[in-house]
This record gives sequence, structure tokens and C-alpha cells, in this order.
Amino acid sequence: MSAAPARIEAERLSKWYGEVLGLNEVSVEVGPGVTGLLGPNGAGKSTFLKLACGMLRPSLGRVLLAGEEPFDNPGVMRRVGLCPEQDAAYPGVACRAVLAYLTRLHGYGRREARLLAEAALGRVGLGHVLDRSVGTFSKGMRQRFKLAQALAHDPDIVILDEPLNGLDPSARRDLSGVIQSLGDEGRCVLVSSHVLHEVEHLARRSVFLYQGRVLAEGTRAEIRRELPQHPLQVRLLTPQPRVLAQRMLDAPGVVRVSTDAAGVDLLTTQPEAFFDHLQREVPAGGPAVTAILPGDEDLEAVFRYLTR
Amino acid sequence: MTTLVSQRPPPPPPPRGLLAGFGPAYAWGLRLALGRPLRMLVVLGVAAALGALTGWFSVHGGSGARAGDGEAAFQLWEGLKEALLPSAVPLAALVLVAGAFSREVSERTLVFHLVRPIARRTLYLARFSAAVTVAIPVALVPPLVALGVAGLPLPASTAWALVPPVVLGVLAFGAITCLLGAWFRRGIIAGLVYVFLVDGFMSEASGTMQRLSLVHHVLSLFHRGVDADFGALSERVRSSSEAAPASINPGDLISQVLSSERVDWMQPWSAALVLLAVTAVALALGAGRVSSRDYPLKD
Repeated sequence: MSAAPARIEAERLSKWYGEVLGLNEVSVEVGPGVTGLLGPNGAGKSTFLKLACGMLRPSLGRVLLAGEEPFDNPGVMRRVGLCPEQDAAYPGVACRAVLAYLTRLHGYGRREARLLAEAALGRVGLGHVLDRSVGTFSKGMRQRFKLAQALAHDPDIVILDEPLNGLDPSARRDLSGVIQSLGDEGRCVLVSSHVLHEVEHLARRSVFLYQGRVLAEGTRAEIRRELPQHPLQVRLLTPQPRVLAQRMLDAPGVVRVSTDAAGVDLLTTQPEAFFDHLQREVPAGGPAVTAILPGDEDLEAVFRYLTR
Repeated sequence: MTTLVSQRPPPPPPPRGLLAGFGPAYAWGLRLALGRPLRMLVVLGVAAALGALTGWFSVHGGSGARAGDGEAAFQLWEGLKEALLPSAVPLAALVLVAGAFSREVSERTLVFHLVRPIARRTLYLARFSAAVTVAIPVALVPPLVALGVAGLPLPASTAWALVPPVVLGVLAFGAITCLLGAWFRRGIIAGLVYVFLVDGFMSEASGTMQRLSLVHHVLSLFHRGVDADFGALSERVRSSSEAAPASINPGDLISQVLSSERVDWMQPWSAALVLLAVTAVALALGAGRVSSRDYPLKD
């Protein structure tokens, strides 16, 4: 790796899509460790990440990775790993072959690339499906694959766009551990999410985006002080909604529970304690939770509070 | 969780230069092009069937009785220049080259490449090169099968003379269709319009406008390469051969464009030069386009 420190810097970064403003004069600095990029859908998170990865060119301002502009700049990309939001696959090609190819683009030889691909797939828990095509993977396995391809070449700047989206609780725990270890190793890790709680656990610092602007940034404690005890809306997908709803009634901070055929919707005023309770409850013989989904409306309410 | 750091091979030296990453990207492009065996079998089967039918009908005609060598040579020559070359070359480019880069965009796999140390233009050139590596042999199948099935006493050099028009034609048509794929959301449709409406119209036009058609240059190479061989078997080929030396007077360009006369075939070197120049310009435009545009790659 070159001597330039691993960091992401944006200076008055703006992006228009035609007449729609996607990002409005955003200035942030992201250094070593895990940083959360938070905001409701449409806040500009993906636009920021795509600008940072060189997929888009800024309309105004600039973004720098390790001191270099990323747009069509292969030199700096050897230091970057991206877990994109969108799913993409080469139909019928084994995930090991895809990842070995992508790693070879970093200059590794055929054999080294294959070994690195296998190691990265093993690290995210896909070591048993090396010869399966990504097209046949479940949503959770695809997320793991996307994380593996972001890490295989040992980048020191790691950008993760909604990496925990649609995962079951066990996969969330596993991948959260991987992401946290990246930050502990001193890499610059930027994780976007529209789930406040999800990133709170991972990130040392967070940046809140809303309507294309930076609303707040800082450590968890600094931002928490700006927020009231606002209830968090959570949706749990399960084959046994009624049974799960009953068990969630006495979970910490739960103020409302409702069910439908596919799952349980609830509001909690103590997100951290609630999720700890959920982690204990699910493996302890409770009904299976197949996915945890955020309630966007409430998160947007939190952001509205911040904009007051 | 295990950590990768202690087990890793040393990082490679940083890739540098325009061609950094070209090798793996080219090899992967070949794998993608050949990775669907059923599709390739169908394409090759159709190509071989077209060639076989042309060869058989040129010898046996509609009646099924075998014609003399002279008549068969004339019919095969007609079939090659009127049907096989003007269709096989652009079709191979459309089917196998047009999507070489644009498929990475439409299937969003480009997102994995934009964050790798490979320049966008290098990826574009690698995918194009891989696609034409597959398309050229496919486009050679119909004329060579036609020659083989006809079984006429032509010299071996006749088959070799078919290679330049096919190779240079696929390169030029491929570069243009690949460019259209990189430029437009529905690049295949734009390619179809170009191949069959624009180039097709110009190749049938009169006067100098014909020279704007790629097919005209492909056929120039064909005529300059094989007319003597076919003419040795057939008086009709000799009398209808249009392989007269080209002559352009720049002062007469407008009158030539407006003329109803068909223009002469180009000299081989000038036809080859035009096709190579078109290839180079189209590739440069395509590489420039992909290097400068945004790729949001939304789901």
C-alpha cells in the first residue's frame, strides 16, 4: 500500500441528476475504523458512496480517496473494496471463479488469486459453496459474496452499501463481526444503512445524511445526545407471527405490537436492549426470525426531529 | 473470525499503464462469450447450415441436378457476395460483439470492475477484443462451409482470400455495434438500425455514397481477392466481375454521389485501410464514452 493514509474526504461535494439534487455541498472526513453513513431512503447515501467509488463524477466539489480523485482512477482502486447495494451475477459461473477473476485484476497471479478468493469466501461463511453460481444464492449468501469480493484483495479503504440488508439474525451477527474486525485492523470502513440501530453497534462515528445534506456527524454518544427517546419501528419476518408477538410483548421498551400473516411489527423505545433480547430469544427455542426489517417511517421521523 | 492478513501472499506491484488488467479482462471476456455452450452451438449450427445451403444450391440449383463447374462457380460467387458476406459479417458482429461491454452495464456486473485497478477504456477494449476473437471464426464458417460443400476445383488460396474481408468486416462492424451498445440504452436495436437500414441503404445506393457503406469495403476485399479464381471457372463471373480499378476525382464528388452508376470496387489496401480506420475511430469513441460517463447502475 502507498504511504497516503487511508481516508475518504469530501469537500462541498454535490451531485445533480438532471434537475434533481442528489447531494448538496457535503463535506466530511472518514478515517480509520468503522464509520456509519446513515439516512432514510433518498437521503443521498448511495449517491455519496457512488461518488466515493468513482462510479459518478461530482457536479461540484470533490471527493478524495487516500488523497486521489477516484473517477476512472485505477491507481487508487487497488486500495478500495466496495460491497455494492445492487445484486449482480454472472449466470452459471462459480462464485470462486468470479472472485478469482476480480482479484486477478489487482495484479495477482492465477494461483494466488484463487487462494485469496477461497480465503475471502471462507471468511464470510461461503467456504462450502465455492463451486456454486452466485445466481443460485439466497439474498443472504449474495450479501456475503458481495462482502467477500470487497475484501479478497486486502483493501485498506472499505465501502459497504447497506451490507446487512435483508439478512437473517445469524447472518447479521456474522457479517457485523467481519465488519467490526476490519475496523479493528485499522482500515477505513464506511458503512451505509438506513437502520440507525444497525450501525450504532458497528460504527465508532456516524454521519447522518438527510435530503442530500449532512445533518449531524460524530460519535455515537455525541449524536445520541441530540436524539430524544424516539421509538424505533421494527418488522420481524417469521413463519409464526402470533407466537413471536407474544414473546416480544415483554421485550424491553416494546410499546406496540401488531401481526400479519408474514410477521410482526413493533415499536420499541429501547432499541439496544430490545435487540439484545431478540438475540437471546431466537436461539433459545423461540420461533424462527427469517429477517429483521427497519421501519423507515420512524427513522424519517427521527431525522425530521433533527431538522427542526 | 479468522484474519486474512497473516496468510496472504505479498501484494503485487501496482498495475500501471493503459493495458494493466487487459489480460485477465480479455480472458474473462472469452469465458463469458464461450461460457454458454448451447448458445454457441446454435450460432455455429445456423452459420454452418447457411453455408451448406448456399454451397449445395449453387451446385444443384432448384432442380437437384448437378450443374457444370462454370455455372456452379457463378452461382456460388453470387451467393457469397449477395447473401453470405453481407449478412454473416454484420450479424456475427451484432450477435456476438454488440453486447460485449453493454452487457456488463445491463447486468450491473460493471459495478465490480469500477472499483478495480483497471481503466474503463482497458476493460472496454478487452471485452471488445474477446468478443471479436469469437465472432471472427463464427463469421468465417458460412463462406468456408459453402466453398467446401460446393466442392469446386478452386485453389486453396480462394479460401484464404475470404479471411481478410471477414476479419476486417467483423472488426469494423463489431467496433461500431459495440460503440452503439456503450452509447445507447438499447444498443442492440441501434446496431440493427445501423447495420440493416443505414449501412444496408448506403451499400445499395448509387454513386460515391456506396463508399460510406462498410459492406462495400468488405465486398471490395472479396472481389479483389477471389474474382480471378472464380473467373477461371466461369465466363459469367469474368463478364460480370466489377473488379475494375477504382478512380475517384475529388472534383467530381458531388456528381458521383448523385450518379446512378455503381462505383468501382476499392483497391484492397484502401478498403482494408478504411475498415481499420473505422475500427480505430469507433473504438476510440467507445473507450472515450465509457471513460467519461456516470454509471449509477441502479437495481
